[in-house]
Amino acid sequence: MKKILIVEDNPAILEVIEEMLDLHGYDIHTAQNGSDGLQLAKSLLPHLIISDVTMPKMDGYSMLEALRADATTALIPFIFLTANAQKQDVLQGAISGADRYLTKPFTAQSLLKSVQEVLVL
Amino acid sequence: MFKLATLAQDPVFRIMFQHATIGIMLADSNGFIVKTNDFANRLFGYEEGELEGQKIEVLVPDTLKMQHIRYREKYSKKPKEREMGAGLDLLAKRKDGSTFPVAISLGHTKMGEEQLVIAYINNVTKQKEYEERIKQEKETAQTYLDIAGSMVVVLNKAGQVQLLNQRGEEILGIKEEHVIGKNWFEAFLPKKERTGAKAVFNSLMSEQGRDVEYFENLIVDSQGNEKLIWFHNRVLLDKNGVATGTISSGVDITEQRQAEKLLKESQLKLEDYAAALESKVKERTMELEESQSQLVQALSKERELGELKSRFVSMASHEFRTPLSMVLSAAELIEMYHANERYDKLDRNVERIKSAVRNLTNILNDFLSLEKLEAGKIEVNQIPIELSTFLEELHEDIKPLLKKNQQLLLPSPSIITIQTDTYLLKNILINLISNAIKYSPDGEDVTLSINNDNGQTIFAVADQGIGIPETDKEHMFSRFFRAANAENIQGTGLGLIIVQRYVNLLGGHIDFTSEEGVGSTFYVRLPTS
Repeated sequence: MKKILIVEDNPAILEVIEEMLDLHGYDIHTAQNGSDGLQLAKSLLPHLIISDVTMPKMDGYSMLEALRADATTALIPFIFLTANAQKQDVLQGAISGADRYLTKPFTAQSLLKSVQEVLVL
Repeated sequence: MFKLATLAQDPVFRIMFQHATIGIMLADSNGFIVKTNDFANRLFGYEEGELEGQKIEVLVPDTLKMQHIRYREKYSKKPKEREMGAGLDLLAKRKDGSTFPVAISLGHTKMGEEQLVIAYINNVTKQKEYEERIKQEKETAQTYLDIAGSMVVVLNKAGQVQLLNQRGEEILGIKEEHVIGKNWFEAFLPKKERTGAKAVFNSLMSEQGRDVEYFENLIVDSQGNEKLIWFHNRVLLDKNGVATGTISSGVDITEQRQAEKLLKESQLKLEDYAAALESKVKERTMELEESQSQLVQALSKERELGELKSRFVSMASHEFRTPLSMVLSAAELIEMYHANERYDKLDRNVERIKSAVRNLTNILNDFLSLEKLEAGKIEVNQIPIELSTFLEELHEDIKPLLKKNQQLLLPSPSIITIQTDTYLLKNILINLISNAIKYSPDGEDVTLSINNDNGQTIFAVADQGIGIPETDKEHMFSRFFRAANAENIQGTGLGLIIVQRYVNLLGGHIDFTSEEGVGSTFYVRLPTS
């Protein structure tokens, strides 16, 4: 069973993502800010991380950078899922080193497809 | 020829004759020289006795000989005394043929039967030269006068014209000969000038007035034209130092004065023009500066609008996407659970959709409220309201918004009723209280207190939340503004502006105190009596 870590500060959004992926047979773990997410990622070593960008304490970009800087977490596939959908946001996401940059609102299909793709990598 | 025999024997006579410093010569009636003295011999360059017996014409230049002979014969017939220098320019010839001017006086006497003529002869070369020089100097002086650029007038003691030079003739338009002897002041000065000019003349004459060397007055020429003359006066004195008249040189400064006047006028005009130009330039500069500042204002307004627009787009993009995402995800979950026949999960997701839609509605309401406010469409309807009932209703509205273990602490007000607009007041307080809840952590209570101050009611909403950073405080009432520490918390950045507008509509005032990490208190002061 593949372990997926979801990092999202909006609890309602976090719940629906969790339910969706749970329904498709993934082992879901959650955190509500970048700092907690980073700690959990290091101890859990998930197969995939799905993260928001704008969050308290530590934002998604800082967390990604910290993960990539640590050999144990550097290769974990990483998907951004965010409401920051303006052109400059998407461009920033594209060069951030994340494997996918998905914007809200998202369809379950697009999320699941991205998850499957990056897990194969 | 007559021979002089015995005359020379007398020694006194000899001395007188031979040592005279004038040439003396005796001739007979036929013109033969009888006797010459030493002076005459030296004068004509002959040895003693050499001239005796020669015709007197040997001493006359050849060209004048015939004339002299005729003159001599006429004289012999009717001799008379003739004094020296009586209007005759005579020329004599020396032995060497050179000539020189002489003055001659003649006398005659009879000696026996013989008529003798005695001539006394003076060499007048020096006098002639002197006369010539005087004449030349006079002519030179006249030339000076005539070519002088100024008019020269000489007046005698009585003020009568003694001299007028060529330039003077030109200026007066009259010949000198018609002017000589006329009274200068009567003839050539306009009446109005006479008294002053005469006074100057008299003071010059009286020795005290030597300081009025320069004087300017009008004269009238023969055509009746007035001319302004600038005179330089000098008193003429006789050998005893008594004033005999004046000499004045005058320059016609009529045109110069006119030119000066014109120059002065044009200078003044120029100065006026320059001043006018300067003030025009100043005016224009001010206009320019004004329009520039208007332009700058318009530009900054434009820029502000542009910034506002980009802030709105950014806010709308983010704030709408979250609830929309929730709606879509919940709907998809409903499909999934439906397919899996997990009907127990449906209600939960329907509730999520409703909540997200409420959230969207709130955002829309914020926009609409602001739009309405800005269009002036909100009416204020102030009525007396019972405070306890109002607070109960408010509490009911707030309850669903509270976080875990969080309470809204309400006062039991001392005031019973207040006069205000219920709708606006409720909106103000719900907005402030929901902000306090939003920016506070779980378990931290929010307090509403109400106080009366001089007929005004003060509502205070206090929290122990994240507070407002010092640098962001001044922007709290700007549209779409979010404090640096609130970026991750949902919000449109419109709530406080709407509150402020509502407060203004009620004639009140909003203020706040806050410390980052400690909490904020918002004060609304309303006139409610």
